[in-house]
Amino acid sequence: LRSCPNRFTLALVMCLAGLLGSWWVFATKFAPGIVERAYFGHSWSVLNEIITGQATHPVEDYLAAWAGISQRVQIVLLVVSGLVIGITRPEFRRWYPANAEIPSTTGPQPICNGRLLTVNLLLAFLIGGMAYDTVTRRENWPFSPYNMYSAVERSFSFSHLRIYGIPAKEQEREILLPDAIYFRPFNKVQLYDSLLQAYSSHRPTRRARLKDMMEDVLRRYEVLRASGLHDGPPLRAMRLYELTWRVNLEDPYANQKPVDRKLILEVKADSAP
Amino acid sequence: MMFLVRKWNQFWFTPGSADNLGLCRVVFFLCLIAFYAGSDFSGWGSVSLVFWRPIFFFYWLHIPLLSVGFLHLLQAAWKCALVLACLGCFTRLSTTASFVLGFYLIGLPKNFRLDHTDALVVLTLLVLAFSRCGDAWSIDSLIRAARRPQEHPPISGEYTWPVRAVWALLALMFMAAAVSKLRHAELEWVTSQTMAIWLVTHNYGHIQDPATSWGLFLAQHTWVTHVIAAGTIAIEAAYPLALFNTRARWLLVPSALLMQLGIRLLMGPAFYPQMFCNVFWIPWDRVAARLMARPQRQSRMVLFDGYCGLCNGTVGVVKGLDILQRVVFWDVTQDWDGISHRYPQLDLDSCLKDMHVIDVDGQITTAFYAYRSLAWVLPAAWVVLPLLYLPGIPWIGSRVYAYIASRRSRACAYSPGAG
Repeated sequence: LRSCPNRFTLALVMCLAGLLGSWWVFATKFAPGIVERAYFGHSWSVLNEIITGQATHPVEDYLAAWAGISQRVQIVLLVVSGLVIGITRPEFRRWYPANAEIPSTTGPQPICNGRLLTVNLLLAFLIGGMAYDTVTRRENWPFSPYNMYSAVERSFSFSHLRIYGIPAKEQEREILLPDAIYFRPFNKVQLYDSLLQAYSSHRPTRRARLKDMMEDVLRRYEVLRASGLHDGPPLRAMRLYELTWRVNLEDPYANQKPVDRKLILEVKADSAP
Repeated sequence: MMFLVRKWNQFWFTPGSADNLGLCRVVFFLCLIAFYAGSDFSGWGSVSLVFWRPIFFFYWLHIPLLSVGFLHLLQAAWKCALVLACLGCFTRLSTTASFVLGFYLIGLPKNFRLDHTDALVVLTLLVLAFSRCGDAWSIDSLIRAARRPQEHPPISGEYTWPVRAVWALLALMFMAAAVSKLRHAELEWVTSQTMAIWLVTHNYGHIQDPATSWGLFLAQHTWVTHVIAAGTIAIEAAYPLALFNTRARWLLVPSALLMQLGIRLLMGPAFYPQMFCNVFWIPWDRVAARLMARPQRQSRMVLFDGYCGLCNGTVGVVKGLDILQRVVFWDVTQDWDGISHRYPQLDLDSCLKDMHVIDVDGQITTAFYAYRSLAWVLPAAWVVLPLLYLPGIPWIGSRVYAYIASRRSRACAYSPGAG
């Protein structure tokens, strides 16, 4: 082996193969047991806290999810191993365009081929990601087609959702909860957009989530109030309304109040989890 | 094909100075620290999973929603990483941690409601994590200067591609927005009353909370709204020109910034994090050079022992911190004839024993007081300057200096040729 000219590459390949093999053994032999113990709360508290949906998901769901993760990690390790060998070993570096081709552009301190390849891969990822989302109109945050405000608005009436609270000590008086401080960590746009997506969805399952969402909003309102993070009154219920405004471009200062108000649902404090 | 490859390399890897990238890093991370210092991401750990709609990378990588306690830890680590990256301390590690933790923390709220106000920040953090942005204007570079005083970072394409990558990201973002408008609505986006309606609807209902109610006034003038809409598309579509043309850059970059500011004033949504990325358009090295070229109002002359390794290291650090170029260095082992001619009251043995600093009025200070005098002209030391005048500090400082100075000749011998 000492006389083999590619012994370093061979050793590197063996190390990386060992790493891949170790991962495979861990992922298939040990990790499922750890996932199971964490699911039933018998593992370390750090791991137990990661699994939170026992009420709605059986342990098989988590094992299937782990199988998916381990496969992806194997693919990533394989790709990274290939890149490491390709970039670091001279046997493969000779395939790239030589440094000498860009001496005038790289200045007094030239960039080595491996580094050049890494930077170009990063640039390709960034530019490719932005271009892909623009062309396909898909959202793959942090890439995006930046669709916001791109539609034509033709309607002169528009609707927004609004949350009103009913104080515990009053019979029917409703108070508008106008500030984001009642809904933290959501800001108003985040909260109302989330509710609107559920409300305007045609899928019954997502629509059914609206009540759960409102119950969570009410629960967190009370938690924040009890912690002294806002000074709102204790509530016995919350109501979600759809408010409609009309736009008058001739005199937009007038008529800033909604012209219609429709109750969507009400959640009570005792029903909130 | 080779022509395209040459052009590609010429654009990304034209030699640039480490100073420009280093200053971009400092200013960019300062902006992030100012913006995110008060942000609390831990609350997301308490939100019900009924709101959870994972975005692509969170779904694909099975990234979970962590508990409130974990999020507290993560955000504390992230904010530390931002500060370290700004200072350029363990820059490779701190910029990488800034990206990895920032990706999770900034991305977390997007799983509840998607928006793109800070997506570009995450991509910029990724670029900086791969770059050599700590080679100048960093604690790392000061340490390097202390260890190897003769070595300065050369100009290289390494310092150009990260800056231009951020330019390209901004250009692609604006172009995508223009393409999206033209694809969805064509020119109707300009000719219809879309802009007027939005200016009104964003002022009703107290959700978007625009900074002013000027939108209601402008909405009454249809031609103004058409001009705003046409200007928006023109700026967004033309923005990529700023990558290649300096004159276009002077017009388009400020226009796009004003456009984003206008959106905040008239309609409400704020794009501050995106706006921070514009710091990469500023040629900071030229700005710094211009500031340094100003006539010197105050200066210090440092007399040091050129055969002492510790003194040479200290001089390297002071040179790195002397961004206003107010300090002149004289090696007493080499320049004693000139020094003694100008300051006959000085004694060679005394100058070899303690560092001497002479100010513009000819006042000579030594040892701890020499460092305190230097602190007046080093901006990075201004933070600690008042502390150096507290009662007791000069006493402690003098003794610490004396302790180190008494051991320096034994601890560190400097050979001028050594790297």
